[in-house]
Amino acid sequence: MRRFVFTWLVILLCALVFVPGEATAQERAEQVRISIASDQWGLTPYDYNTGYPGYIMMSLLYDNLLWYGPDGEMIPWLASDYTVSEDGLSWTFMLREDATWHDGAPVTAEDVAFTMDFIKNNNHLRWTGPVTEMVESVDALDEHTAVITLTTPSPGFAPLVAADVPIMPKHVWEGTMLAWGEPVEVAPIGSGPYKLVEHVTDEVYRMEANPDYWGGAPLVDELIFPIINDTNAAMAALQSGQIDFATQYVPPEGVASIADGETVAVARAPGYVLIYVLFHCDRAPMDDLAFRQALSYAIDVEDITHTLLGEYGVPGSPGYVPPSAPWAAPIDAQFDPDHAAQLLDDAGYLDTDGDGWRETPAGDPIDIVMHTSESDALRIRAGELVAEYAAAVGLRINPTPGEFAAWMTTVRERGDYQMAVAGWSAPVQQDPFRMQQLFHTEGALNFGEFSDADLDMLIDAFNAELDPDARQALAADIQARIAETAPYVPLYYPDVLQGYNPGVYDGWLTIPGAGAFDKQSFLPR
Amino acid sequence: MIRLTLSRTGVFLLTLWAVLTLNFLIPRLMPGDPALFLLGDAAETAPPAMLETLRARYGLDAPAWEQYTAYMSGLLRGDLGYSLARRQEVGAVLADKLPWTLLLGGVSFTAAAVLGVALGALSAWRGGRLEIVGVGVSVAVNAMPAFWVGMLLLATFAARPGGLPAFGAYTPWAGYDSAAAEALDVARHLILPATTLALALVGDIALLTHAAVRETMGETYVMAARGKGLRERDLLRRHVLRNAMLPLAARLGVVAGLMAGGSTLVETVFSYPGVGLTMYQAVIARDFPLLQGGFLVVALAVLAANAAAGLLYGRLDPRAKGGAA
Repeated sequence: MRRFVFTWLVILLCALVFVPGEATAQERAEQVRISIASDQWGLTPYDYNTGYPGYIMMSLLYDNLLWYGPDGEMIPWLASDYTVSEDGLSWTFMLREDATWHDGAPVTAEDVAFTMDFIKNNNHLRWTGPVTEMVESVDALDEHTAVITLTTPSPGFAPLVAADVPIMPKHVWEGTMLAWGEPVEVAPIGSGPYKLVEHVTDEVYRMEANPDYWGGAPLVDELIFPIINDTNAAMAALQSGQIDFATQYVPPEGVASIADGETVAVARAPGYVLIYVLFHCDRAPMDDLAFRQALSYAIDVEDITHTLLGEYGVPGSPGYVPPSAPWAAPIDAQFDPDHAAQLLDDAGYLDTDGDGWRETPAGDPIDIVMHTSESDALRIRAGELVAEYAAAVGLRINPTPGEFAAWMTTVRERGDYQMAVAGWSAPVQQDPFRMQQLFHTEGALNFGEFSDADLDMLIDAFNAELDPDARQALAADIQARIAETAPYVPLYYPDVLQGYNPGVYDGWLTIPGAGAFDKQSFLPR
Repeated sequence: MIRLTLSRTGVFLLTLWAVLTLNFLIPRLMPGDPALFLLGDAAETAPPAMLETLRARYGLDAPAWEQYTAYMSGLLRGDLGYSLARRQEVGAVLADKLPWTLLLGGVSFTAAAVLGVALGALSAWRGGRLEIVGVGVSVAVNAMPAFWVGMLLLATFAARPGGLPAFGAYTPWAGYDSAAAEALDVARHLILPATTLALALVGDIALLTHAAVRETMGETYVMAARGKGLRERDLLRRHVLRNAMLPLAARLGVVAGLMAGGSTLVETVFSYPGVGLTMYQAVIARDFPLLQGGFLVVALAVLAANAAAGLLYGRLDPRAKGGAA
C-alpha cells in the first residue's frame, strides 16, 4: 500500500512542477470527439465489444475495485484501500464512501457480492471462468466493506478479477437472466466518470460527465465517439479538426506528417503488443530445439524493428515480456548468423542435394509455410524479412499472407500450420499470470503445443508464490527459460501512437501498454 | 407478346434463384468462423466449448442443407434473418442503411452520366485535339481504382484545418437552425464520396458514349440530315445522341453493377453509413445472414437496373419491341 501512496505523491509533485504556463494547453474542455473504428455495442459489462476500445469505453461508465495507474501498476480504484490476510485467502476491500451509481443510489458492498454472484450464474466470456475458479464467497461486512474469500491463495485474483471485473449495480441487474447472444436490455448505469446519453448504432456515441463522481467532476463535459471505419479517414478527420483524438493508432511512418506541430500532436507510450514468430512445436522440424534456436540467432530483430517501425518500437526480447512491463527481465536478442549456421550444421541440417537449401537430418527437404495475416501490412512485411534472414542461413520459409479470418481459422482453430507471424494484444501481455496460458504444457493459449518440463515447473511455482519479491525473481527465471527454449521468436513491440488536438484538450496521460485513452485522462489529478 | 413476357419472367426468376443460392454459398465458402468474431478479443482466450454453444445458438452447426432450406423458406416469408454480429433483424439493418446508399448512388450516377455523356459526345463530335484529350482523360479515370481515388481526395481535401468532412453522412447532434442548414451539412459530407464514386463511373460512360457517337456520325441518315442544312447542335441532339443512347441504355445494368462494387469501396473509405459499408463489416465478421441480405439487395438492384435497361431500350428502339432483345 505504501508504494501506491508514494507513486501518487511523485505524480503530484511532478504535476506541481510541470504545470505548463502556456495559454495553449487545454486542461479542460466542453467537448472532445474521439474516433473509434467500429461499433462497440451497448457498453454494459455484458454487452460491449470485447477488447480495445470497447473495454475502455465500458470502463468510462463502470468502475473496478482496482485499476491500472499512470505507471502501469495496479492501484486502488472503487476500493479506496484493501488488505490481504496472511494466508492470502481473504481480500478485504474498503469501498469509497462517496461513490454513487448514475441514478444516485450509493455503491455498497452488496453490489460487489451481487456482481460476483451474477457473473457466476450468467456466462461471461472474460470473467465467469476466473470468478468461478477463484472466488469462494463474498461477504458484505458493512455497507462499504466487502470481504472476498478465495478458493486458494491466487496471485491471479488481482489482475483477472479485482482489476478486471466492473462492479454492477444490484438494483438495476437483479432478476435479469441473460441468454446467449440475445440483446442485453439493461440500462448502462454504472458508477464511472461518464454516463451514456445516446448511441446511434454504427455511427456515434455520446457520453456526459458525471459531476458527482467520487474522483471529482471530469475535466471534459461531453465525449462524442464518431465511428470512423478507415484509419486514413480518421487521420484526415484529425487534421481537419473533425475529431480531437483518434483511438486508432497512428501508423509509425505517418507520425511526421500527422504531427504537424500545430493542430495535431502524437501521444506516445511504450506498447505491450508483441508481434512474434510462432512455431508449431509439435511438428518437424519446429519440434527440434536446435532448429528453433538457430532461427532465433539467424533473425536480426533489431533491424526488422528499425525497418518497420523506425524509432517507434522496441525490438523483441527473447524472454517475450515487453521491457517496459513492471515484471520484465529483458534479455537482448543475439543476432549471429554464423552461430545459427553452426547450430544447424551440428544438428544435421545440411544441404545434401546441393540445391542451396538445407534438408532435415533425415534428408527431407525443408519448405515451410509461414502464415501471415493481411490485417496488418507491417506483419506481412515482417514475415518477408524473417524469410530473408532464414534464407541467409539456408532455410527455406515461405511467408504466405491470408485474410485475417482465414488466418484465425488455420492457425488458432485448426492448429493446422507450421509457422506463423502472430501477435498478442496488450491485455494478454499486461498480466504475468498469462504466462501459464501461453507457455505451460496445459496452457489454454499454448497454440504452438510447446512443452518444456522445466518451464512448467517454474510457471507452477510462480503461480503459487505470493511474495512479490520471490515472484519477481521467478518471473525472471521464466523469461530466461523461454529465451533458451525459443517457443517464439519475439520480433517487436510497437509503441502506442495516438494523435490528438492539443488545442482542444491536452490532458492526455500516456499509460504504458494502454496509451492515452483511459478514464484517468479525463479526471482531475 | 404474352409469351415474351412469360419467358422474360422465367429467366428473371431463374436468375433470382441462382443469385439467392450463390448468396448462400459464397459466404460459407470463405474460410473463417462467425463464432470467433462474435467473441471479439475474447476469442483469444475462449475455450472451444464456448464456441460450440455459440454455433448451436445461431444454427451454424446444422448441416448446410438444413441451413439452406431455412434460409430459402425465410426468404419466401419475407424474413431476411437475424444479424449475428449486430443482434438485429437484417431487414431493419438494411432499411436503415439503404437511403444513404441510394442518395450516394443517385447523386454519383447523375453526375457521372451528365459528365460522361457530355465528355464522350463532345470529344467524338468535335474530334481533333479535344478528342485525344477527352478519350485520354476517360481512359485514365477509368483505370483509377476507387479506393485509391478516395484516399487521394481524403489527403488533398480533408486532411487540413477546415477541410471537407472525412467521414460520415452528417454531423451528429449539430442542432441545425433550419432544414437548409441540415441539407447543406449532408451535401458537404456527400462531396468527397460522391466525387469518388462518380469518377469510378464517368470513364466507362464517356468511352461508351464516344464510341457510340463516333459510329452514329458515319451513318448515312446523319449525312442526309446535315445535307438538308440542320444546325450542328440540333443534329447532335436529335439524330446522333438519341441513337447513340441505345448501347448506353443496354449497359445500364453493367453500370449498376459497377456502382454496387464502387459504393462498397467508397462507403468503406469514407465511413459512409450505407449498405456497402455494412456489407464490408459483415464480411469481416462473417455475419452470414447480413451478408446474404446485403447481397440480395444489391442483386435485386442490379436485376432491376437490367430490367429497366430492357424497357428503356424498347422505348428508344422500336425494333426491339418485337423480340430481338
